[in-house]
Amino acid sequence: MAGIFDRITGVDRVELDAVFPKVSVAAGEFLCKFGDPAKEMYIIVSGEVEILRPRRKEGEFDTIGTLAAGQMSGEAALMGTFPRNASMRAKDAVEVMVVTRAALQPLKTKNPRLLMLFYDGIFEQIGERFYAIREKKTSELFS
Amino acid sequence: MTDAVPSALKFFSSIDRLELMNTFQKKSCAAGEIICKSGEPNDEMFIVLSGRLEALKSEPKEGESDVLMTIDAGGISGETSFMTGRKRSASVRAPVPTDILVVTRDKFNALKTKKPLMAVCLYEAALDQAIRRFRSLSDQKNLLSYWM
Repeated sequence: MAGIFDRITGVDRVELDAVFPKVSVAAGEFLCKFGDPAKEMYIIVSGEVEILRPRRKEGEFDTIGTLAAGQMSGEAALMGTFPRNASMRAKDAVEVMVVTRAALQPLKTKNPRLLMLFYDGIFEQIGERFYAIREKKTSELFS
Repeated sequence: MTDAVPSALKFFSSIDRLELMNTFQKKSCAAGEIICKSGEPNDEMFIVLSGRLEALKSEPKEGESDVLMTIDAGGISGETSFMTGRKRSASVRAPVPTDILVVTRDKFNALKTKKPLMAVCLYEAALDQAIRRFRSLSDQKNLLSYWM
């Protein structure tokens, strides 16, 4: 599954690459930690990232998800500064795009069509994650 | 939780708000009216202008309230299923006389090409609602498998 990179291709992908800086993260390193203020969202370009929730015991985690190329995490950072509700750790050598609200703003006037494709991609992932849980907890949730 | 959901209209300038009101149709709902039902295809999302909406539990336990969550004035209902083309996940009721703005798929799609800046603002308003709602749900229910 290539996630957002299925939607954003060709010249749009070139523009996306120009707008958002990329960062390389070595295997085993954390991109962000549970509880930190979330200031940026990440899109995985290559490699795999584990989503972790810390256990009560220091240094122990539960793996709650894995992300591959085209998938993203940390989208809450686009709409305010929330504390991270999960940690992200590189499973192998990983490259990620770093997305901030500030970097998105110029696209509004420069290329709103690309921005809308980008938002479609975020909604798709929110939807996938949410509806997967809803299957299990039907009466508790709502979109 | 309602405190955590700010007005969706903050994403629009006052001129754009007028434009928004002119683009989409306003609907007045009577107290107790069911506006949409769970499982239906979702081609409309609702911006609450006044009054409030209640999303209903699909299987309320006996003696318990059937209200899953309340969407106050300024909030949006049905944004995630609308944006992702999924079926509605809950039925929605107006418990009091309520005015809503009905954002239909056809008009939203037309807006994307005719007035892309306004469409982007609608996207951001909807995304803001979805993110705050799911954040708040995952914090409340401590859903281990949900994060963002």
